[in-house]
Amino acid sequence: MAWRVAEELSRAPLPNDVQVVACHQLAPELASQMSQTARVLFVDATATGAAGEIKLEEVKPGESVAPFSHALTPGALLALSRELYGNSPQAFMISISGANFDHGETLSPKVEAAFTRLLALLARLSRPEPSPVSVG
Amino acid sequence: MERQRTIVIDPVTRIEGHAKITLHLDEYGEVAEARFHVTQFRGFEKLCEGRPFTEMPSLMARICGICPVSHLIASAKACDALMAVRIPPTADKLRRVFNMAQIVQSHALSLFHLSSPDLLFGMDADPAKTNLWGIAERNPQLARDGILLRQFGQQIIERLGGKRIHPAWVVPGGVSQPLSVEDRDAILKAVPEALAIAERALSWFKEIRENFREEISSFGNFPSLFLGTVSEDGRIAFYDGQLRFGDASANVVADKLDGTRYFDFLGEKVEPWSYLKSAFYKPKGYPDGIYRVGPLARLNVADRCGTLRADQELAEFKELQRTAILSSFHYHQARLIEILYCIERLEELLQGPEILSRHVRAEARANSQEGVGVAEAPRGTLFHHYKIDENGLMQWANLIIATGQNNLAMNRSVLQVAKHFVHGDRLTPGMLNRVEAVIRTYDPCLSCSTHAVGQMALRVQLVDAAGNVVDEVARP
Repeated sequence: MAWRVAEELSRAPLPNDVQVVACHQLAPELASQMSQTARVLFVDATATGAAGEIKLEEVKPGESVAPFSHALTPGALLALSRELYGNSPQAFMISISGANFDHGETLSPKVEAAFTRLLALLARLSRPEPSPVSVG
Repeated sequence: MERQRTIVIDPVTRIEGHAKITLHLDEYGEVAEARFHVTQFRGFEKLCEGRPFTEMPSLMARICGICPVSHLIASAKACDALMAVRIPPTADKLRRVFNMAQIVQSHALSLFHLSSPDLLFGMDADPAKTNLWGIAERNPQLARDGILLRQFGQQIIERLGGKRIHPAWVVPGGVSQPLSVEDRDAILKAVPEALAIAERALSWFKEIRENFREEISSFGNFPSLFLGTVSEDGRIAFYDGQLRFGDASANVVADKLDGTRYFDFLGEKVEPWSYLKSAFYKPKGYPDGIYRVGPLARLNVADRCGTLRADQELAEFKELQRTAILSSFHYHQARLIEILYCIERLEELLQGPEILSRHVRAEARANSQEGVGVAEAPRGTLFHHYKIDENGLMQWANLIIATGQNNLAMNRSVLQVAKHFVHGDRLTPGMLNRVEAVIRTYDPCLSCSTHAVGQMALRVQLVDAAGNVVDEVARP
């Protein structure tokens, strides 16, 4: 799902200072890039909630230490950004509840139906507005 | 209390892949035997049977997420041999740059993320501190340097190959795309900072090395053969060259060996307690033909690196011992010297006039039914050997992975460390960490799986002959 989001956003008319980064896991190397931004949007599927449900949550730099550096949590990455580079951007996790996590090439119908709303939300959040919009 | 028999360390932390270590105690509670068990099975040599040989580089890259470039290159070289082609000179240079970028990022991961917590805090440190956050707090420059150096290597891979992990750019016959002026200039612009980081890290390491004299004397400090690739004039080589075996006295035992005839001088044995094959030097038999590969081995067998700063560091490194450098603890410093060399060398290659040529691929069908590709991966010499049928479909594959060639040495190292530091009447986290730390010096790539840092989530039980748990050490 997230890969499809990245592909669509890369084609969308976003502001010039918006960068889309597609990666299969959050690695420490991202902390350097993040520290130079004002806002970060994390996009991922989640196994909780009803299929197609979109959630928007603010993410704060994590206090707890993640045991694995192989795949950091968004909060851990923000904490690393703050610790090493003195800056932790405003950050949000935008998640969409999945229906089927088996191998496949298409999204499930409910997730597909919510996909346009998801993209619209991400496009709005990519603009330099003073506060995030609500999910609707 | 009944006599304890076996200590199990499971999982081994801060390595790439899954493994466990068992320490077998004698009737006096002292370590009598130790084994390093690789607990994961991959089966790539079997699952590629029936596939078109042209798919092999992409398939084989999936063996690993840390060193896919190594497999891409060794596999592509095997395919070049099947096609009986000589790839264009620019493709040769680009593959070398690609390979060296990967060595930089892989070595940086090993040292800065996996091993530096031990080096910075000591082997007995609180596991809650031995992680990236602990490093960031104690030495933020070191943490930033590790991230930047890894990023330097990864960005070169991304610029050349299109993505950081499993890039499909290296193909049979060459590479799929030439290098653009923009990408070349962007890479060259990042070189000075990368060089500065490598030198800073070497200075730091040489300072703290003095704190680990006991570990240096007991971490894989034994005579063995060493294997590496060298050029015609004895310089270290990563992409192409001839194989050289050196012994513990720094004598050349066998030289100018053709890697495509590896089966003449390398044997493999399977032991029932591990999925990792053990390689050995055939003339000496198994297990006397134990040898090591990777950074320490390469620097032991090479006469020089061939770049200015790396050669200065190599000369100083070789003064550590009059013989070959034996202790596996010195893999760490060897890794840093290789990082320095790779950055210097890839800068030279990128400044050459041919690097932007658009002729980067030779085209041919299969012209031979057997091909072998050999290249130096971050962890050591890597062999891909393929046989195909008349339709170009894979019939058979044999891979000799660098880590397997270090298997005998890793097992011997674990035994040496365990005998020195572990005593069965009491267990401490520091003892067990040292047993793990010696494995980390080899930077094994058992597969791209997990690397746990900081809290080890480790539970060690002492179980007597009757199966009763009589002692336990646990970390959450």
